[in-house]
Amino acid sequence: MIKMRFQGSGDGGALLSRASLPDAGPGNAAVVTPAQCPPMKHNSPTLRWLTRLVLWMVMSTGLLPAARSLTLEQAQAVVSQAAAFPEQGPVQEITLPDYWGDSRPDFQGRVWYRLHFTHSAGDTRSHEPLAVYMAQACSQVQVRLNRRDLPATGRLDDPISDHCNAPFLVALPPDLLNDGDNLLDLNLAGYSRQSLHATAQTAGLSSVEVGPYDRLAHRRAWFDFWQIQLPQALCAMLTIMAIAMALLSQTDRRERPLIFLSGLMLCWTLESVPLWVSDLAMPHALLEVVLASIAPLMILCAVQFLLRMQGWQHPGLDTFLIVQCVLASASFWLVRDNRLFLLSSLWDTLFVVELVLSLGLYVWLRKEATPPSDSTLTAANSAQASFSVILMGLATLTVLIDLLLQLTHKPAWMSLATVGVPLALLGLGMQAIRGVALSRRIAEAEVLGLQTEMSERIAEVEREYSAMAERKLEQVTERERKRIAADLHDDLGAKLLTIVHTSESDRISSLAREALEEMRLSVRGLTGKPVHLLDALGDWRAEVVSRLSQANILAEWKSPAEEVSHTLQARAYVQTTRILREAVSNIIKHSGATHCIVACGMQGSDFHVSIQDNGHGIPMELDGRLDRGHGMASMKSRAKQMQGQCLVESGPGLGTVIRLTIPL
Amino acid sequence: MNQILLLEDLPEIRAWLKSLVLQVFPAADITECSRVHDALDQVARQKFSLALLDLGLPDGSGVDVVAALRDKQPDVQSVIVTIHDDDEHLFPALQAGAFGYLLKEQPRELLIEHLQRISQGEPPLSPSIARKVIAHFASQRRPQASAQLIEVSLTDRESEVLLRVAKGFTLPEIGVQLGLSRHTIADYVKQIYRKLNVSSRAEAALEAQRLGLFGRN
Repeated sequence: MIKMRFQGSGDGGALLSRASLPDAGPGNAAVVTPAQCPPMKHNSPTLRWLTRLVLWMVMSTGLLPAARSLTLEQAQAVVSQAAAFPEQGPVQEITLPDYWGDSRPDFQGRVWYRLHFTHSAGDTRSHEPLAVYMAQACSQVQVRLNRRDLPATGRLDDPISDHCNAPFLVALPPDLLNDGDNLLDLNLAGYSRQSLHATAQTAGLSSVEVGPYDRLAHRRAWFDFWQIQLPQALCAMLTIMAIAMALLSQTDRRERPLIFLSGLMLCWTLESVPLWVSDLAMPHALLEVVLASIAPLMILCAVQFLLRMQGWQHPGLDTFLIVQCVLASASFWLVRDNRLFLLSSLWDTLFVVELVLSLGLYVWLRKEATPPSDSTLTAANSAQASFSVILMGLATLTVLIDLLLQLTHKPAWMSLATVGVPLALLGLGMQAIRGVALSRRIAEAEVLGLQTEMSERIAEVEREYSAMAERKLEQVTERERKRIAADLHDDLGAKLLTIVHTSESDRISSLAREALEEMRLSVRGLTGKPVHLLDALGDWRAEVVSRLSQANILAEWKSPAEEVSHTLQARAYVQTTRILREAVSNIIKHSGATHCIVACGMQGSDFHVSIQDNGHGIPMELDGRLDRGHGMASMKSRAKQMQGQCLVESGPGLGTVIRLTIPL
Repeated sequence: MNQILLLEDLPEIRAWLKSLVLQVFPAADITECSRVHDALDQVARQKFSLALLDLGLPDGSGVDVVAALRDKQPDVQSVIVTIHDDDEHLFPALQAGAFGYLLKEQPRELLIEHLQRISQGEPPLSPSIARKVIAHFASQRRPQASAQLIEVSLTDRESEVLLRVAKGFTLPEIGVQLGLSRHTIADYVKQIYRKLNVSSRAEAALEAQRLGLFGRN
């Protein structure tokens, strides 16, 4: 696995400032933080503030080289397994930093370096304790000052302690210091590049600094924090998040892919273990193979997570990824110690390509996915998806940047990937949690919507049912009425008709006739539907005018002036017909009139008819009242039954006026 | 008018009708029936010039005889003689092709006059019947699914006459209003009835075809 660490050397800042990084602070400490990568929409103001704070802290802790510390770059190097610097024998004059990957790529073992520095006892601050500081001493170094061993921990033999991640600081005891020239012997033990799985552990020695212990300790503490403690904390968080993801993935079928995110987090944590554990009780070759084999596993988790989150999975892909894991591990084991680095680099290139491809596929699937109907869901989904892409992209980007910088030996102030990747993974985890909360909210809203729909449907069904029941009732009553009407016609009507046509007496015939008419009218009132007033007026007009004309009475019918759109109940229609017939019969039989005027119209919501004739009027009774005969009583009672009234005005020689009012 | 068909199930009424008819057409040869199937037999066997048919008979309705007469002897004047004066009963008969109608309980003189009028080609038309005819033709004008329906529609004059009858004007009054003679108005009424029959039959045929009843005869 290509994993990067960077060392901050004294002039690291100058090298970095060549790269065009935004927000480079004053001086030469160009700080590359994740904030300067493609902006994360949600927290850029906060990060910008954070960056400025960090810069200030950098200034105040003296990461800059102080004038008082000496940077030693000239050294004599000798490859030797001896316990001390071989005084005799050929030495090589080299300039630090010395990277074994360049100078002796296949060498595994120890190299002695001898450096000289002058220290004046008369220095005003000579009572300050001094220390020697090496930004990078990979993998383990032993220090001798003026041919005396300084206390140190760590193994120089196989398995060599891994001290590659943090700067090396050793205090120089003042009583060993000479006034004047001092000899500093460094015994560096390291592995050959080929036996490593990543450039992170490539052996090498950076330039050495000798200076005040406090200052250098501060610097070391800073690097410790960024290189070791912060990644440690992040890995601890990752472990917890991994457990959370694993639990979350069991809650629902759709969240199953989260198990892969959990796996990804655990793999990264495993890979970071060497950061804070320098001595693992494993032979070096095995350790390197194990660490190398974590990479295909990580790729498997990453690819599966990306694609399954979009609902895309393929058994072929599953098989391929698993086979890839097995093949890679097997190949690493086969070539261990020999060409492991080369093989690892090749595999890693392949993995990066696969990762980029799956990112692309993820984006494409995202685009192809049909948006759900709910707009809030769409917004949430797309925001979530783009955030995921951004995070994964960022993580990949940090890895690639680290790789680039490492390959060109451009040291940076800290390794981006050790902080960037865990942060990205944590972000993905928190997003997953948020997604679950969102889906729960959506599910609840759906349930609510379903409930509303159900209750609406039920109300509709009930309405329809009651409407249907009403219709049924109407149908049944209609049938009953028709049956009664038919019975009446058939039985009663036939008998009355027979009487009409076979009776000897005219009076009986006409009585029977009238009875038949009444029966018909009654049936009409029973079975009839409401009648339009306009139609009723037509019927009445035809009957009245034709009867009067046949009796040789001049008939005038005055229709209402305005449009009438009212309806008349069947019963009211029948009663009014009876009243009109009665009135006309009276005029024909008793009045002796020659002229009759019928006028009808609307007065508000009342229907009004007046029948006027020029006959000799209705004779008065002795008490001044009108003669109650001639069907007046029945007319009045019929009108009253309809909640109306019937008024009769008459006088001898003045004719008769009948006024009928019916409310509609 | 020499061959007359009489369909009535009540014997007294039948006798009375017969006397009535003889008063109007003394030289007529009257065939009496009291059942629908009898009448249908007679229709198949004899040619008539006038038919007086009751509607409510024990074994069916006079409307069937009206339809049969329309089919087989289109020149016959079929007159419904009935107790029912409501359009629910009369309209189907008119749709089937009846020429006119008489109301049984009316006084003899009135009946004679109406019968004479009918035989002279002046069928009666009441406002409610007129309303039904208007409604019928209005529904015909709706676009039908099939274009096979014979479009029978009323002329403007006929529609005017119908409208005025529906408003309650008598035929003489309409004649005065439109400046036409009584005879012309009567002609219009006859046309209206004929078109009603044609249109109703076409509609029935279309319905039968749609229901797949054709070809079962």
